[in-house]
Amino acid sequence: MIAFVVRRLLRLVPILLAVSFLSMFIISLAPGDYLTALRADPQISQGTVERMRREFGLDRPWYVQYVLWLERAVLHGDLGESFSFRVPVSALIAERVANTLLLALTSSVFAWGIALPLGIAAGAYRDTWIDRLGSGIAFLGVSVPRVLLALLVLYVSVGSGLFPAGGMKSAATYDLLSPWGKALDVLWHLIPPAFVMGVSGLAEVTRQMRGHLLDVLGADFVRTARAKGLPERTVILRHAARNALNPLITLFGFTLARLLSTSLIVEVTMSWPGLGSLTLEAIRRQDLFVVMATLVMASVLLVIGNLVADVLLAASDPRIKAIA
Amino acid sequence: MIRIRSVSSWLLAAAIGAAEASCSRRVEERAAAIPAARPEDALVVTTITPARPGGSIVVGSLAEPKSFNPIVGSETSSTEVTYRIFDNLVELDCAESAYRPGLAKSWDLSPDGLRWTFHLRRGVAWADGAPFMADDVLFTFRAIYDSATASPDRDDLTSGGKPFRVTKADDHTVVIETARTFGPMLHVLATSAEIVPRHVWEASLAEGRMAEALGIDTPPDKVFGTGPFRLEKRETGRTVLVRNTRYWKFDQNGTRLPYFDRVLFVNTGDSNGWRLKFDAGEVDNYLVRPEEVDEMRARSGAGGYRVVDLGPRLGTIHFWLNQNPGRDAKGNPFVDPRKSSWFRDLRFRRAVSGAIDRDAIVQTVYRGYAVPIRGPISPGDPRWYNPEVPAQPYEPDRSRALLSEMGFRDRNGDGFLEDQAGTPVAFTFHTNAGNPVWINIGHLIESDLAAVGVRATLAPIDFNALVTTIRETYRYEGCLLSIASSGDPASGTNVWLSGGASHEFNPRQESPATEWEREVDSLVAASLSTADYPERKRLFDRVQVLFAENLGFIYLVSDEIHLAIRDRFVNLRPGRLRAFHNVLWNEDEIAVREPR
Repeated sequence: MIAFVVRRLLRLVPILLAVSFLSMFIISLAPGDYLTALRADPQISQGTVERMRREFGLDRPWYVQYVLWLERAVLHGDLGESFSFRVPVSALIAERVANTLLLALTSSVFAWGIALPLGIAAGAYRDTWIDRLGSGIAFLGVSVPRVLLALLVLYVSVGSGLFPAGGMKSAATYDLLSPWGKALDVLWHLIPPAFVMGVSGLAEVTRQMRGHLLDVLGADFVRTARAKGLPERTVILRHAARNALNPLITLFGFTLARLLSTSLIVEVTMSWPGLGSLTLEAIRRQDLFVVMATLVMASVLLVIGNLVADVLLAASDPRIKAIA
Repeated sequence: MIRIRSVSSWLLAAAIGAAEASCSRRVEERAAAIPAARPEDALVVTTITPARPGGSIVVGSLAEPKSFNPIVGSETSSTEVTYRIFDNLVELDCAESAYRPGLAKSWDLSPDGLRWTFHLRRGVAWADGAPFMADDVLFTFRAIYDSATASPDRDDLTSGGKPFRVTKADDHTVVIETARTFGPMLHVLATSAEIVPRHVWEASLAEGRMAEALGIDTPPDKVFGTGPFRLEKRETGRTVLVRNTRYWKFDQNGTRLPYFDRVLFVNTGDSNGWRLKFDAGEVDNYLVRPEEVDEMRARSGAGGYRVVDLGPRLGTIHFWLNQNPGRDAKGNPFVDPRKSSWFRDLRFRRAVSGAIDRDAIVQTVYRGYAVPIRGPISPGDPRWYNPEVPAQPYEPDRSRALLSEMGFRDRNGDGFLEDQAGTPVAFTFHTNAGNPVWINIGHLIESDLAAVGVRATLAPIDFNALVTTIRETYRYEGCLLSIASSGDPASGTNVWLSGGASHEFNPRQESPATEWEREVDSLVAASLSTADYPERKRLFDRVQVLFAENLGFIYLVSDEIHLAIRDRFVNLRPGRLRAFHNVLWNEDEIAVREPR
């Protein structure tokens, strides 16, 4: 098992190299660079822009910039400096990553915590009201665009006064609160974005769980279990659901990998101070090294997500362990 | 042995350091408890109603501050914060459009107009208690001119391409000498060159790292100036400023300003988020969009806020046709020579300008909250606008007559004109694809021009690609953009001069292509060599007339600024000369009506 994990982690190296190289190449194809917006300002002379271009190293061809970046990243673990903030990219990310993880984790717990039982119930009681309810939620969750849902939730929050208008802390009063008060304040701000982010995941997982359970329910071993006279509850939970779970573990790996891109929209719309708004602004302004770092991070998450899924699969299914 | 000694000396140093730290903390606490002494040259503000200190204000912002360094920060999300932390030698009173003493209590100009002497306020202290001196001013200029800093302020602070020579006569007198007479001196000192403390940042400049100094990762207790507030805390999404207890302004009752205990900046993401937070009572100000003005006015009484109308923005939205006669590296002309000859014909530009219905743009795109403009300076700029500039009337019939005078007729009956050789009178123009307002204006121009038989096609493109096109490749026919103004036409010389890079319709000319451009060049040169406002105004009045008559840029509209602000504040003096938070520019004077 350890050898397997190490092998997979080693595979990260060529993937990261390829991802970072391609990212740099694609970014270089985009017209202009970070300084283009400054050039449009009639109050800033060309000389000043050229000076900044040299200072940022943007006067060199993209592949030279890439090699220099790679050298610093590999030898010093330095991912470069943001052009707009003038601080190391790693510091910018470190400050925001906890907020994004908090949101992602809460929404995942919410989504999976509801979706798994709902999916199993929908599969077990096929074509009953509970199945239709599950399907209804799933179709709504999958089809309503997240931006729209986020806006809707925001308007309802403000209109009803039950929840705040986005953000993570109460601007004026947060610093005056007790530690418990602070935790409650963050939780109060967390509920709307976590709900929005969780809903589509919930829908997907419910549908998948139901579908796979129905597949398994038709299998021979379920018939055998029933024939043995096991109670229906045991048949479904212990035998059928356990076997239907395998594809979902893979799905779980993917959700981990997609965390960054899913949180981006919600964070930007609901002004959650995470990586999303940083990434979006960096892309918009061609803040090169911030974009590079986020892309590299997304690929690391993808690989790790798949790895976690594989390890979990091996743990839940002895047949896979034998192959690995 | 050596090692042991070095370890013990290290321990000793650490112990001393700890003692020093706790000692200085105690000093700091005591300093906070006892009010700092009133500076000898304290400023007593007489234009406001004395109020009681206390309370706070929450300011909405569309982005995070990128840096607390006033020398390198150029975008409003950063400057709106540093503006409250650092002071300038001269202050700009946005409500009265006047320059007032700041850290310099007075100044004189030598008879030859080359030597400015600034007398600094005595007794002013940095927020940490260190005295503010001439050396701090010298340090700030050194930092701005340092090539490793690459400060965007540098260009404002040059005269005839040369940096100012900044010296001190004594600890409270700074002399600024310029290579040529420099008219906008007070303006640039009021809008650039925020003074930073030498004793904190000297080492950074020496290491060539002034651009990274005062970054958002700087410990908050090091982010201070002489201004009304200092940094207390910053985290993603939220920046908290706290009162500077050593500020040098007082009200008539002898109360030290500012009144607010704290100013909080909240990143609201976008306008929708900002509006929601305003409606929910989480932020105290809001930049109202034209389509919201009527609705918000109607609800302002119940909502406990008012909508302030600040009049037209300083900048302009304009349109131009590419008159650049140059060729690219392969020898191809930037613009098809036939079209280029139309674009350079004043009759054609007049026809285009006269065909555009500016009132329709105001009504359709801005719901009436904009004004049609005549020339390069918006009527929103009371100091520089010339009301004598001829109007740009909407007269499509005259446009048709001009086009037919040029020999354009509809030769094939398709409803559009063709020239003598049968070439359709058509061109493509670009605008920023990220700006829906400009795209709407572009579509109105398309249909206005179609009505006189000119086939204009709008092609919105990405902003960076647009800038590259108009600044580097020059291969385009027309463009619709806005231009911001800093409040002094001298900072727009790149636009006025025929050799300027922002003289977009025909930039970087070696010698002026036309007589009117030659006249503008000499007017601008004359204006730069005098510091006399009436004389500069007279010269720029003529520049405005020349630009309006010759339509290098075809001026369209300036939109009006509306801001919503809660009723619970007093001493608001709205003014529009600052690009940001025009209602809150005098935050050191604003107070809560009933402090809780």
